[in-house]
This record gives sequence, C-alpha cells and structure tokens, in this order.
Amino acid sequence: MKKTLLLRSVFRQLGANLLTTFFMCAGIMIGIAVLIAVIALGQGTEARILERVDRVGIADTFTLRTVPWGQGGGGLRDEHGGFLLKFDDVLDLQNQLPGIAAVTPTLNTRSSVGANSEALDNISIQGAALGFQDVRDWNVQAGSLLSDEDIELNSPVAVLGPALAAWFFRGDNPIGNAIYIEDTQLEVIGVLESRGASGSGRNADEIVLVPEKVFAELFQPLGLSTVTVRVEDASRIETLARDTREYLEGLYPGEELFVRFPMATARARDEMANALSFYLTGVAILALLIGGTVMMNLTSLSVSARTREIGLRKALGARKRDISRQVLLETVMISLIAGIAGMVLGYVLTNVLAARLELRSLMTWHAPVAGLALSMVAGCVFGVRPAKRAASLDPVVALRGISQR
Amino acid sequence: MRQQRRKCLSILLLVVRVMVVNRRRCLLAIAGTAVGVAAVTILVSLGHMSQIQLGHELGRLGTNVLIIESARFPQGRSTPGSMGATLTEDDVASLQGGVEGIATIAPVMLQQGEVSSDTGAVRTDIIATSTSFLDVRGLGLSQGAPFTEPEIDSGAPDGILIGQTIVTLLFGNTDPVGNTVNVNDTLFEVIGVLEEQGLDANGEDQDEVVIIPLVTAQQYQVLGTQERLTHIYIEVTQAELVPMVKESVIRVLRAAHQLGPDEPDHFDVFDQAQLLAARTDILGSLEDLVCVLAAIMLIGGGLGITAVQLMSIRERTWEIGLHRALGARKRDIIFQFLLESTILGGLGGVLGAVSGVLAPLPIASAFSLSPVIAWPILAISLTTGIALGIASGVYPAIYASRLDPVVALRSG
Amino acid sequence: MLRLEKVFRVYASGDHPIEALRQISLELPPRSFLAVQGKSGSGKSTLLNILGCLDRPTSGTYCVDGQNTEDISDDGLAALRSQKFGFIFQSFNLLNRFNALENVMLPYIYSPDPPADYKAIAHQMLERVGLGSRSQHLPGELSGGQQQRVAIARALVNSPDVILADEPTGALDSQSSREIVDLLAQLNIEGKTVIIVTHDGEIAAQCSSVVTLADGQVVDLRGTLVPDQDPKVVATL
Repeated sequence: MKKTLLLRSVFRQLGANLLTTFFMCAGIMIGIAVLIAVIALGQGTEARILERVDRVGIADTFTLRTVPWGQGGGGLRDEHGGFLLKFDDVLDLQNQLPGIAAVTPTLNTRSSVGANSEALDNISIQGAALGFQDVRDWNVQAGSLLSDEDIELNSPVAVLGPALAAWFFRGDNPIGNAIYIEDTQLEVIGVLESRGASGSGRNADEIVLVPEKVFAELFQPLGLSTVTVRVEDASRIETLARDTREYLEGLYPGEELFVRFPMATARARDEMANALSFYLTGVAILALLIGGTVMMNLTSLSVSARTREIGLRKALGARKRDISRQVLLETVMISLIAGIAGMVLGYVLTNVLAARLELRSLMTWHAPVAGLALSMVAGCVFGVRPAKRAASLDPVVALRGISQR
Repeated sequence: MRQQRRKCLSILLLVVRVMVVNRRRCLLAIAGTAVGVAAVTILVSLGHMSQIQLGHELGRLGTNVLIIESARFPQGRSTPGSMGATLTEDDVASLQGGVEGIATIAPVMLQQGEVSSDTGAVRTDIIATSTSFLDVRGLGLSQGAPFTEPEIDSGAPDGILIGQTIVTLLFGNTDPVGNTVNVNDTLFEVIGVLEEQGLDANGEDQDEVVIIPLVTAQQYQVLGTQERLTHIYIEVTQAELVPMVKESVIRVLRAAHQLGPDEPDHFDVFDQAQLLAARTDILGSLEDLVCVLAAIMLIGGGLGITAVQLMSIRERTWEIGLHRALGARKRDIIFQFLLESTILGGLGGVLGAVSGVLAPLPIASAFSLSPVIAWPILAISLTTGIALGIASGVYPAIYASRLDPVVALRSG
Repeated sequence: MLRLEKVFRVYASGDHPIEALRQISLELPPRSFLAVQGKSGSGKSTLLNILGCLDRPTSGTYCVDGQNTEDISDDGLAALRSQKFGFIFQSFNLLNRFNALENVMLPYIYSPDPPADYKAIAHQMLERVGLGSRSQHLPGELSGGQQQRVAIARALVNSPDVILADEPTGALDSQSSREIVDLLAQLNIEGKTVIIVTHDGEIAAQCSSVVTLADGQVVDLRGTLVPDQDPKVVATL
C-alpha cells in the first residue's frame, strides 16, 4: 500500500515537473546516445583499419611447409629431404580446425615465359587451386580472375602480373592473347592489379597465375610441400598455426612441419591494435566524462529546483529517508526511461552517421550498459546528496521557497 | 553613450556578483564546458598521436621505401636472362645530392648464391650492401651487431648478417655468432642474426637472406665480376613525399645516365603501392573518425549545456520577473544571460583548453608515445568553448526575456 | 497622474476567455493613497500589474502622466517601471544570497542615469526604513517585517512617484504589518502615490480611498483620493 503510494507520488512528481523531467531525460538521452555512437563508430573504424592492415600485410595468412626453407619451388621436388603432404589432407584442414577461413596448397616455381616471340627468364609461376582466391584476395585490373571452372576443368588459361603484361604486350590489350610456358600455350584472361615491390626487393608484379592442374602437368610436382592458410581472426594466428601444425604432424607421424607467418606485419598489427584500443578507451572515458558532467548538472539543478516541494513533504511528515528514497526512485526511473530512449537514439544516430559518412560501426552491449550505469550513479551521487541537504533544511525555510535560490 | 556604458558595467557587476553568489551552479556549468572543450582537444590530440603511431607502424612495414631496380628486363629486348645492371654507386651519390626528401639510401647487389656451413648448404638471396640498408628496411638484429664502417673499408675480417631461417638450417639450435660460413666460396664470420620478419606481403619468407658488406663483395668478387648495383633502396622522410621523390629519382637518374628524351628508362622505381594505398585509407578513416567524434561530442556537449542553462533559467524564473519589475528591459535580460553564459563559456573554455593541452603530455609519457599538442585545436576549442557558451545561452536568454513578467513573478 | 479608461484585461483560456478586468475607469491624481480590495480572483493583482506597467490592458487606455501606455514601447515601459514605479511584493522577492544593501541597490542596474553616490543613497533608504544597522545582513538573517522593509527601501531608491504594494503584509504578523502600513502611510504623506492591494479591512481603513473589485469590476468606491484635493474618481459600474 505504502509502496504504491510512493510510486504513484513519484510518477506524479515526474509528471508535474514535466519540463524538468524532460530536460533530465534529454540530457541522459544525449549522453547515452553520444556514448553509444562514439564507441560504435570507434570500434567500427578500428575493425576496418585492422582489416585493412591484415589485407595489405596478409597478417591473417601463414604457411606450413615440410622443409624449413625454399623461397619458390614449394612442391616441386623433395630435394631438401622433406616429406610431401596429400592434397586431400590439406583441403580438409578447413573442416577440421575452427577459425580457418581458407586453405590453399602453394604451388610455386620459377620458369621462363614467352609471348610475341619473346621470352623472359626466371618468372614466378603460381598454381591456383580451389581456395586460392579466398586466401589471396588479389584483384584484376583487366579481364577476370581464374574461375572455379577454369581451375577444375584444367582450362589452358593464365592471369598475368601487370609488369609482364606491360612488357610482353606493350600497351596492347593482353586479354585473349597467348603466352607460352614450357611450350604449352595458355590464353591470357586477366591482368592483376599492381602490388609493387615486396620488401625483399622482388617485383610482385612479375607473376603468372595458372590453374593448379595446368601447373601439375607443366612441372609435375611429386606432391605438396607447402600449404598456405588464411585465418578468420588475425590476432589468433599464432595459436591456429600451432594447432594446424600439430594436427598435420598427427597425420604424418614422425614428420616435422615448419610454420612461417608474417611476423613483421603481425607485430605492426598488434602495435596498431594497441594504439587504437588505447585511443578508443580514451575516447570512451571522455564521452563518459561529458555525459557525467551534463548529468551531474541536471540532477543537481532538478533537485535544487524542488527545495520547496521537499519542504512541503517534510511538513507533511516525510522523514529524510523517505525523501532520499523518493529522489532515488525518480532518478532510477528517469535514467531507465531516458536510457532506453537514448539507446534507440544512439542506435539510429550511429547508423545514420555510418551510412552518411561511409564509416563502419560496431555495436556492443558495453556502451549502453556503461551509459545507464553512469546516469544512475550520477543521479545518486549528485541527486541524492542535494536532496538530503534539502531534506535536512528547516521545513519552514524550505517552504518559503525562494530561500534556496 | 556614457550612460549605456555605465549600465552595461553595472549589469556586468551584477552578473559577476550573481555568479559568485551561485558558485556551486556556476562551477558545475564551467565544469560542463571545460570537460566538453578539454574532451574535444584531448580527443583530437590523442587522435593525432594515434595517427602518428599508426603511420610509424606502417612505415616499419615499408610505406616510405622506394626501390630502384636495374632494368629487370633487358631494354635491348634481346636474349632472356641477361640482367643488365645499370645502377652504380655514383648514382647513389647523385641521388643523395640531387633529390630532396631522402632519409636514408642504400646501394644493393642482390643475387642468389650458395651459403654453406660445416653442416649444410642452402641457395638463398645474398644482399651486398651498406649498413644503411638495415635502416631503410627497418631491420633489427636479434643477436650480435651490424658491421661497422671500418670493417667495410678494410674489407678484412668479413662480417655477415644472416636471417633466422638460414640460422635454423645451417646451425640448428647452436649460437651462430662467431661461427663461419662460406658464401660462394668466400669465408665470412657471422657477426649478427637478423630479427625474424616472417612472410612479407607477397607471402615470401623474408628471413631467407644473408647480408654482406658491399665493399667486401666487390673486393672479393663474391657475386661475380659485375660491380654494378642491382638495386638502390631509398627511405623517404615522409610517406606523403613518396610520389614526389619517385619523380625526382627518375629525373635525376635519367640525367645521370644521359638518357635522351626518346630513350626509355633502363631502371624501374617501385613504391609500395598497396601499402601506400592502405596507409592513405587507414589514416583517412582515422581522421574521419576523429572529426566525427569531435563533432558528436561538441554537439552532444552543446545540447547538454543548453539543457543545463534552460533548467537553471527555469529555476530563476521569478528572479527574471523581479528584474523586469525593477525596470529591466528585454534586452537587459538577454544581455544579462548572454553575458553570464559567455563568461561561463569563456572560463570553461580556457580551463578546458588548458587541461586539454596539458592532459595529453602525461598520457603520452606514460604510454611512451610522442606527444602531440594540437595547437590549432587549442584555438579552435577556445573559440568553440566561448561560442558554445554563447550559442547555448542564446535560446535560454531569449526564452528568459520573453517570459511574461507577471507570470514569472508568480512562479515563486 | 494615472488614468485608466474602460480597461479590459482578458486572458485567453481555452474556449472561454477569462475577463480579469472589465471596463475599469479610474483616475488617480498625484499623492493618492488607494487600497484595492476584493476577494481572491477578483482582479486586484491584475489591476496593480497594469497600473505598474508590468502588464498591458487588452482594450481601453491607460495613461501615465498623460501619455498613453499603448504608445510606449516595451523598453519605454521598462524605463517607467524603473523611474516612476516602485514595487513591493507579498513574498518580498529579495535575492536571498545578496545582503540587504545589495538588494536595495539592485534597481540602479536598470536606471538610465544612476547617481554617483548611489551606494550612499541606498544606505539612506535602509536607514529611512529603520534598517541602517542591518545593511550587511542576508535576508535569511532578517525577520519577515525587516525583509519587507528592505523591499520597501529597494522600491524607493529611484525615488519613484508611485509605490505599488501587492499584499505587502500577507506574510507578516500583525505587529510587523502595522509597522509596514505606517511606513507606507508616511511615504504618502511625503508626497508619493501609494497603492496597496489587500484583503485586510483594517489596512484599507487607513487609506484615504478604497476601491473594491468583484469579478473584475469596481463594485464600491469610498473616500477621497487626496486628502487636500477634491476627489476625482470615476468608476464606471
């Protein structure tokens, strides 16, 4: 009975001070919406940046090989005494280990390439198996990449690196023309986008990409010595590389596999992730500070605006505890209502901003929860204390109303 | 005119007096603006710091590196495989003298060769260069020390730096430093091990490499009789200058090689196209983020301050009625409230700007970042703080002046 | 000289506008001492607000010293309030954290040409109401009667011709009330027009004339407006 009365009086109070309530709500709403938008946009940008780093630095890709070294010729000959992997075991990795995004056997050699009755020596030839394009998301500047049919049906086609295309065809359209590798004629169906030099000084644009079976017929590898794996989460690459190695070593008892991953990129990625999350933490703290200050202002004002009402309540027999409880209840109520509205506003704001400004956003539950908690804490700290002070005033003084201006 | 000034002065005094009397409320309002301005300043400063750090990390991946390669494909278009090395150490000197924006430059002879120890032999990349190569590539040593200049000059006790993969292969788990290896039948002493780099962006192992002094290589003809360079590595001072430096490099080299206008370059200059694009992308998204966040915070903070102002005016409604009854004109009321919010905004702005400028310093030193004080932001946030104060005071001030004095007085 | 002619004050309120004042005509020569009586809601405060230029008639004319207030801008009215009128309120309306002297000096802020020795004058005014020794006290440290006297001093600093008091004794005990009314009567004797809104018959009896309002109209008119002059009051019923 008493509780319902208190609740009803709380609601009355909120209704009566409609404008005050509105300002309180607006303040909390803005605070929480800003917090949500700031954190969502920040995290979205962080994800986008790291993804970009992963893509450019292939930080999400590692290789496993049966020999400890061998710059090119993966899978050509077991001249270094390594053993060979079975194709199916390699392709099965994706089903066996969670967290692996794509797997492709690496078929790599150097050979001479001819076209237009000219020839170049020592050019990197890569065989693309299914999954190749999931591991290496290279793009073409003209024509098309190898299709799944090309790869499965052993089509006599090739995709050229831009440096080769320029050298052989000198400004003419290479698409549809023929190149020769080991006297086998291949039709050019695409030209890769330029990737420039790698750090080691090799020109990544001197490359020919052919379907895996074409590669097998040309160079007749005995089996696979190298496999390239792309993981879903670049930050877990070391763990996954270890798991993959252990799994494969289990399949080939007694053999040893060697893992290589892009350490320099991974180091840079970690540093960048640290820098970004440091920044975002700072931003979140700043947003909380702003929200907190606004909330602290509003709560303190809304209570001091009601000194007279508190005096009246005291005159009617309310104890200090009753008044604190009432203010507390009001604060919680306002925080909840405005908090939910703020979440909706923040969600809308984030999506509108993200769409308008082509930013990425990433929602998490942390921001809204932190916002709600903040508004309640601010309400209690900055609302209940002045309320207590008002409650401890002489009711007559408080009733005189203007006395607390 | 004098009257007017006196009146303004007395209102100013009143406003100050009112503020001193209501310190609690004013401190809260100042805190609001200060926190807002400081937050924006810090946000932008930290954003720039993060940008610099990201740029630095990307630089370590090689954004700033330009690689000049001797004509990979023979210009005579004659026989395949005749690598025509066209670069010389004179070119290095003319580039150093003739191109601005070069931080470090390294002459390189790169060839495949055989490296062997007592236990085995491997074919791998052999790089003959100067120590500046390590700086250009951002390579560190996990053990030992790089060769020093006198060693290069004397060419006597020949030091070699080897990559981790080579170490594993030739020495297993034993310490390679101090041991000897043969490079194309020339004896070298291992003086350092390169820090592990792993795969590069093309999926190639960067640790399969040995580095020897260029002087030694030339003196003992380790890489054959050819004395010309295959590559020149350049580190540009800033990633933004890469295209400009690339152009100057081509111009200077063409002039040095006395190429006629019709003759094609017999060298190639590569930049890290993908990395540079990624860098532009990454720093751009961060810049966008910083701007959007700053805007959101400014607007959010402004709305918050306006709400606070409105509420504080609501609380003082009767006071406005009293002033009106005592003869205040509407514009006196507007003036009074705008003055108040300007003073509060100004104080808050200054306070916020000061803490916004100072706060990143300890943060930077605590997290060993290079501190960036966004001086332009100091000006911007100061202006915004005051503008915000005035702007968030405009509506409440007009609202206050429009209050019916009779109604206002009754709202005791 | 204050002259109301067929003044209406209508408040828009939904479908049925409320006529707070209906066709009031009243002429107050200088040095009048008028009580406005009536039940609550009869329109006496509205009348006082119009007389003090805080509010404007909806229709009819109100002339201050022969000038029609309709022709005076809002700023002009503000200047009138500053120079011509002094207000006294039931709830004193003192700024609580300003001391007595500061409260008294408040009107100088808005007066076009405050005297150089305004502080001394403010102090004189406090002495005039018997509070010379309390000038540094905050309102909270003063009794109700003393607070109202501070309010009177504040009303006097710009030497207005007319003092308007809205239930000045409503919040006071009878002893303090008497002192306040005596003070107001004294002011009238010194030459100021004093208009008191009250429902207290005793206070009304001390005034030289009494207007009684009911439902926004003048229902009764008694006494002379200025003791030594011919009464010139026109009330239209």
